[in-house]
Amino acid sequence: MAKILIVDDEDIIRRALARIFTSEKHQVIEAADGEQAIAQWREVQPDLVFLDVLMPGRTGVQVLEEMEGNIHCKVVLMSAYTGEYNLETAKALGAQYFIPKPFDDIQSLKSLVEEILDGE
Amino acid sequence: MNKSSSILIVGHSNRVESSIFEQLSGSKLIVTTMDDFLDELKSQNPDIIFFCGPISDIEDEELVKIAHTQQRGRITICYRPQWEDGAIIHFKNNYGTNVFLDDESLDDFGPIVEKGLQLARYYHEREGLFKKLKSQNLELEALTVNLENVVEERTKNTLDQKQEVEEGVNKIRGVIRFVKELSSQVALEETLLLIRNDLKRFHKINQCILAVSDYNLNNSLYYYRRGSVVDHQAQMRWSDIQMIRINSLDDQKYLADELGMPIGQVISVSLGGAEPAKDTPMPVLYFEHSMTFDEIDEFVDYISFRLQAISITVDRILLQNEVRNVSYMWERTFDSIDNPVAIINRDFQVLRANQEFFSRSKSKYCFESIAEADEVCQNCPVEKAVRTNVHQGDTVLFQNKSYEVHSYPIIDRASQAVSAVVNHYIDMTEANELQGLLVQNEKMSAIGHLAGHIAHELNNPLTGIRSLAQLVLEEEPLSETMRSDLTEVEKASARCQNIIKNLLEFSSDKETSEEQVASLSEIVEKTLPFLKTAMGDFRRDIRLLEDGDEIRCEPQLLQQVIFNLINNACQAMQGSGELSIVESIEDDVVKLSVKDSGSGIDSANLERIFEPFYTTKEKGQGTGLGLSMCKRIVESYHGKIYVKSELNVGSEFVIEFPKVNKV
Repeated sequence: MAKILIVDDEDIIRRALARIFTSEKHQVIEAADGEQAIAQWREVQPDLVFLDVLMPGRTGVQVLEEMEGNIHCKVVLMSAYTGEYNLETAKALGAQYFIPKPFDDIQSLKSLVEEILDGE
Repeated sequence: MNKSSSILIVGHSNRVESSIFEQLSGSKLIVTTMDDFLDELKSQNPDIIFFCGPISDIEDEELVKIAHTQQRGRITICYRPQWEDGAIIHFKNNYGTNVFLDDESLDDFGPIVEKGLQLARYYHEREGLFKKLKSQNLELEALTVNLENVVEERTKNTLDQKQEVEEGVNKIRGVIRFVKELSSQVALEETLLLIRNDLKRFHKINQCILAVSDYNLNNSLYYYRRGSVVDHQAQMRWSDIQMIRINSLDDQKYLADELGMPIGQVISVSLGGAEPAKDTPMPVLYFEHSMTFDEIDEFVDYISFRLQAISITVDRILLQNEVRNVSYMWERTFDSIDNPVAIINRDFQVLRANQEFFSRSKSKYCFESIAEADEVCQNCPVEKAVRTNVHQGDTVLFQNKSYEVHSYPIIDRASQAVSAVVNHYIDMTEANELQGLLVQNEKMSAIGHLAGHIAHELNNPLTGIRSLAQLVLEEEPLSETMRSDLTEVEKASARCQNIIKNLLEFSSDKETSEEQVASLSEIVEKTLPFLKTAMGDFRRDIRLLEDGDEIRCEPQLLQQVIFNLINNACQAMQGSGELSIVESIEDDVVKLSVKDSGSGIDSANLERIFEPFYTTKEKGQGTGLGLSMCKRIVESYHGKIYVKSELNVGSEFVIEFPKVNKV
C-alpha cells in the first residue's frame, strides 16, 4: 500500500483516478489546486504524485519548482496539451513520468503505478 | 588768173621770155643750169615749167623726164618751133607735156597757158581734195582703230567682270551648299568632318578642332585622328575669344596641353553667337595651320562667310542633343517604373505612356490598351479628377486583376482647366491576395486559439467521463443494460475526444506547418466531421482509398481546401441532392473528385471561377479561402485543380497530386 497524491482541478478526473487506486488498496489523497497540493505534499509525504500541469492558480510546473529539493517521491506529470510537454521535459522539471491526457484506457494506469512503485 | 602761179623757166630765149613775161602773171624764175633746175624744182614746186631752150648739154627730153618723174609742174610747156608731129605725140604720151609752142603761137599762148593752168589748178584742187580725203581717211582709220581698242577693252572688262561675277556666284554657291549640308547635321563629329572637307582647298590647314561645352557642362574638344573624330574631354577650360584670333601662343599651348600632341600655329574662331552662360566657355573652332599672312587673309575671308552657319549649327546640335537627352531620360525614367503610367487627355486618348502601359496592346484609348476593353472602365477616377481638378484614386478591376488607379490632373496654366491626366496603375492583386491570406490566417489562428481553449476545457471532463465509464464497466456485479449503456457512454466520449483532436489539428494556431507526406484519404476523413452540418441530408457517396494515396503537402492547408470544396458543393445544392467524394489513383496521380448535383455554373462564370475576388455570392457570404486561394495551395504542391460543370446538372471539382511512393 502506498500513499498517492492526486492533483487536478477537474473533480471527475480526481474521482476516476481515486477510484482506480483505491480499488488497488492504495491510500489516495486529493488536491484541487497548486496550493492544496503543496500543503498535502508536505503533510502527507506521498509515495507517488499525479500532477496536472494546467490548473488555475499555481500550475503543476510551479508546484514542482516550489517543491524542488523536497520532492522525496515519484511524480507523474499529466497534460492535455501534447506537444508542449513530454517525458523529456517532465524529467527536466523533476518528474519521472509523463501521461498525456486524455487517457485512452485508464486501466493501463494500474500497471503503470505498480511498475513505478515496484521500481522503488 | 585767180591764183598767182609759180613759173619756172628752163633755158634761155629772149623772145620767149619777153612774151611770157607779158602774158603771164605770177612769180617767174629762170634757171639755166642743171643744178639750179634741180634745186628750184625741188624747192619751188612750180605750177608751170616752161622749157624754153636747152640748158648746158642736156637734152630737153631728159629735163622733161626729170620734171615728170618728180611730178613737179602741172603744166609743162615746151618751145620747140621745129618739132615734128611725132616728137610732139611722143612727149605728150610719155611726159604729159601739155603745150607745145612755136614762134607763131608765142603771141597767143596766154590763153593756152591759161587753159593749161586751169587744168593744173583743177588737178591741184583734185590733189588737195584727194589729200584731204586721204587725211580724213587716215583719221577715220585712226578712229576705227581707237574704237576697236575701246571695244576690245570693254570686252575684256566685261569678261573680267563676268569672271568676277562667276567667281562670286561660285563662292556663294559653295557657301549655300555648305550651309545646306550643315543644316542636315545631327552630330558634332559629322559637322567637324564637313567643315574639314569644306576647307580642303586650304592645304596648309592641318587640323580642325571644335571646342564646345554641352548643357551638362562637359567641355569637349572634337578633333580628327586616324580616320575618325575623337571626343576629348577637356580638363581645363579654354579662353573665350572675340571673333577671331590669329596665331595666339596661348591657344596653341592650350591645345597642345589638352590633346597631348604638338600643335603648330593656330587660328581661333569664336562660334559664340548667343549670349553664353557664365559657367560655360563659348564654342571655338581652332585651325592648326602653316599659312602665310596672305593665305590667312584668304582663309579668314573664306571662313567668315561660313561662320554664322557653323555657329548656328553647333548651337542647334547642342540643343538637339540636350533635348534628346532630356526626353531620353524622361522616357527611361518613365519606362523604369514597372507600374503602368500614362498621360491621357480628357477623352481618354493616350498621349504618352510607359512601356508597361503598352505591354498588352497599343491602342488609341487608354481602356483599349491597358484593359483591352471597349469602353471606359468602371470606377475609373479620370472623370472625377477632371471635374474636381485634384488627384483622385479608385480601385478598378480589369484583366482579372485589381488595380489601384490614381489620376493626377495636369492643369493648363493659361486656361486653368484640366488639359490632361496622368494615370498611375498599381496592381493590387497580389497585395490583396496576400492581405486575404493574412486575414484568413489570422482568422484561423483566432479559431485555433479558441478551439484550443475549448478543447482543453472539454478534454478534462471527457477524460473523466471516459475513465469512469471504463472503471465502472470493470466492476461486478453489473446488469447487462447498464453494461451496454456504459459502453455507449465510453464510445461517445471517445468519439468526442477524437473530434476535439481533429479540431485542434485543423485549426492549429501554430505559425507554420510543414510540408510532409500524408495520406489524402486521411486528410479527407479528418475534415469530414466538420462538415456534418453542411452535408445535412444530402445523399452521400464517399469512396476513399485505404492506402497508397500518399502525397506531399501541408495537411492542414489541404484540409482547408477540401473543406472549401465540399462546403461549396453543399451550398450549390439547395435542400436535396447527391454529394459524391471519390478518391482514385491513375498513373501515379492521386485524384479527389468532389461532385454535387446542384445548380451548376454557367460557362461565362466557369472561366473566371479561379480568379481572385471573383464571386457570385453576396458580400459577406463568402467564407473560407475562395477558389483562387485553393488553386494557389494546390499548385504549390505541384497539383492541379479543375472544374466541370453543367447548368442545373451539377459541378465536379477535381484536385490532383503526384503520388509519393512510400519508402
